[in-house]
Amino acid sequence: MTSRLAARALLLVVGSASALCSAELRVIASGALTEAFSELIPQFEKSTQHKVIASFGSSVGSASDSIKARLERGEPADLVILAREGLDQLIKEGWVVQGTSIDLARSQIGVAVRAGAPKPDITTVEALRHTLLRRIRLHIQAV
Amino acid sequence: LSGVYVSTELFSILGIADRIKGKTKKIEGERVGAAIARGDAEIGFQQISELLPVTGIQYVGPLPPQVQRTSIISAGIRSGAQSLDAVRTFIQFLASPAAIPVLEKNGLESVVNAHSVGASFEQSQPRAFHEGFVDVPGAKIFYRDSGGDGTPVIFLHAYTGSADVWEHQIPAFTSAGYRFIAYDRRGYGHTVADANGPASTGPDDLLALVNHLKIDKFHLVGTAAGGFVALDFAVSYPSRLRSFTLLCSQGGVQDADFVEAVQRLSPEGFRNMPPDFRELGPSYRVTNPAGVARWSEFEKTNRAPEAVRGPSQPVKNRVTLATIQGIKIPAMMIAGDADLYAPPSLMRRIAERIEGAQLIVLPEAGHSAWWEVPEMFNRTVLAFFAEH
Repeated sequence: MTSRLAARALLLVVGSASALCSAELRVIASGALTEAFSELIPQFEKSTQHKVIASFGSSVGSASDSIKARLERGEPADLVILAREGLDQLIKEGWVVQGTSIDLARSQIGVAVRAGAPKPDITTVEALRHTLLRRIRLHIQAV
Repeated sequence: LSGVYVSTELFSILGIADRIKGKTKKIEGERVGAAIARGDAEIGFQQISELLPVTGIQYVGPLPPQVQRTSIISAGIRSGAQSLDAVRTFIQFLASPAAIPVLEKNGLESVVNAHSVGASFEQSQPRAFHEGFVDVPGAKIFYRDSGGDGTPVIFLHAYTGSADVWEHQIPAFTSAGYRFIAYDRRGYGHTVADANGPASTGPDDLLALVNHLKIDKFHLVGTAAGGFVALDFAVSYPSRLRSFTLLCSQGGVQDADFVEAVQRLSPEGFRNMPPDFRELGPSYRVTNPAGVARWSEFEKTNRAPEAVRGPSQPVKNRVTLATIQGIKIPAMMIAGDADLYAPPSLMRRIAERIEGAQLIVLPEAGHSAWWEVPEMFNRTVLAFFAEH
């Protein structure tokens, strides 16, 4: 199904409801959206009559706050927003309606160091490799 | 998600997995930034959007593009959802001009526009990729399709490839306005073939795919063994092609002297050499170890599980230098000058037989020119398409 069809399916699903006025919308989203949503949701609520209840979790992994774990615990949701691999899995398992997925944003991996520490050179693959081998005591990655 | 990529792939692509073993730590249920701020770590990797808001750390920058892993954040409707009207309004809002700068400020690049979620969706041109399966006799063929109204281009991968390998081509061709499509040929990637057949043929699988996608005419690009299918398709179904490009490929030509030349290229023991040695040029291997590692990752994981590879496919046509002489569609041959399988002199024999065909030789490229010198390759193909 193309995205166009996916959207058509979304419209069909949407078309079957007729909440005309204010509604409560429950969203479970990837942690990547936490900061953006803290700004966007109040804006959305102000410009519509709707209220958004959002919670955040990781797209993959088995941590207790992962999106899948939240759904398995019975946390209610109308919309889930997460990395596509994770969403595809939720669709496969029946948590999310097939044909309703829409790609929203691209997210990339970045590098950070402690405030005040010298900024390492990570602009090229070679520089990144050297940075990791020479300077680094411990790396931390998110799951 | 970033952690899975960093620990399972990035460190080995960089060739440092062994040397930093024991120096890394995975975090669950807490932000990486918090651990860095505390001084528990000197450096951390995470989605940019999750690093930016953390106080006590400084964001250095994104991973270099060659080893970057972009993930797409997608929305889907929960089964049994309430408030569907509000759901749609919210998605439209996330795609609106009001929301896009907020997303971007937070390290997220918007890929959807409000229009495409709106009522006039049908006329819009969604940029989201679609992945799916097409049922063909004896198999389900997995494909990726950028969609849109652009002229379609279909890419056929090598014996060592799959539909995954075109990451240097996708941005170039879609931003030039083309509709990008690639699929896993039988025996590769996610495509599932029935062990009992029918085996069908490469050209017939491709024909079924384009018919399913309701594509009339398209540009076809086949590399190496994918080029065998491309040339066979050009002989079998020429009316469907705007053009075809044969890249780093022997083309499956079966004339005795051609076959004999191919055999001379592959002496005793050659097939036992490492795939990256055989299929990537020496210049590339000198300058781009990370690219070699990434190519090797694809090569190691490209085949479908044995149970679903299906019987080997026969050719549709016995392709010979005489049969290709009848091809009347625009054709281009691209050879890497360091290709050990299909050097320029071999591909010239094919080009000479096709009326108007040009042979382009890419310097310092081996058998995977699309991967080794992508800018040069993309530019060459886009210029050729522009004429046809």
